Amino acid sequence: MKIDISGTRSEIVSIMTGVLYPFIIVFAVYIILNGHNTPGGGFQGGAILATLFLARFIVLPENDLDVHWSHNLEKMLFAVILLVPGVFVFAGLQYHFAALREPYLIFMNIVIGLKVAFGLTIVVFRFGFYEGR
Amino acid sequence: MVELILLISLVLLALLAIRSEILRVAVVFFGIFSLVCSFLYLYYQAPDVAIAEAVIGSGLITLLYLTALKRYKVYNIAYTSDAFTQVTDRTIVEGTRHEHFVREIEEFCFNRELEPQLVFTPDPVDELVETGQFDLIIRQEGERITVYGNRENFVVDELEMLLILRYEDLNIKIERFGEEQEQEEIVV
Repeated sequence: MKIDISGTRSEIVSIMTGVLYPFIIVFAVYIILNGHNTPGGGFQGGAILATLFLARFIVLPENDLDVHWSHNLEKMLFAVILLVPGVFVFAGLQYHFAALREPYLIFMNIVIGLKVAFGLTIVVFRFGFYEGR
Repeated sequence: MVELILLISLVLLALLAIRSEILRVAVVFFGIFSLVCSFLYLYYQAPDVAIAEAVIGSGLITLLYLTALKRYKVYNIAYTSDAFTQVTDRTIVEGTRHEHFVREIEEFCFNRELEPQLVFTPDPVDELVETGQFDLIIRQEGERITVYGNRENFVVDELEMLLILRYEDLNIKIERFGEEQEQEEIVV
């Protein structure tokens, strides 16, 4: 069922959101990739990535995102988040391959960022389109 | 000094958010509250927490609340009666005998920042239920009034209380429709 939430569509908001789009993406990617050195990390970057989808939700409230697909992807990413530290940290591989520690942190930040972004987007899309009145 | 200003403004913003009459204004105050909170986290040298607070507190939460308010704003009411063969402006002005009853419901909606949208129609109730776009259906059969409320809508419970308190003398019946099959019936 398609519900028109916006009512009236504001041109100012849509144009400004279009201008802000690339900046949001760059900021989120910066925070995710530099999470191991500077403040921020996977969770914060992922939340900023989610605001990208939310901005799109404000401008264009159309239910063209496949929620089930992103739900499955989120679960898979969660499995990766559980498995990778299990192999790398708890199995003791980090002592044998000390050079892999930084790539490991960056990889984990990216995976956590994607998971959080998908999760928050699903929350808002489900709330916006599916939940009862 | 900066810390003092931030802390005092935090308390002021919290009070404003609680005391403001209009819900939308309260949500905006809450967003500013989160922003000041994130400045304070930054001042206490916790930039990690500050980023999370700024994004979630003033971005996501504000948006979720605004979406929620928007979703509950329009309240669709259908008024149907056997007396209506065709609906004209005249029916709307003087056709309903229990006009004060409808006024009461409109006032009730207005107090809760809902926008009541009243539709006069000769259609039977079953068809109206099937369209799924009405939160409240009022059916009038002579002296008898039946109010059908959407089961998913929480406002119906409050309305039920009001009707029971105000209109003991009238012949009003409240029924629910919605997902669940079992029908709750309250006969007044």
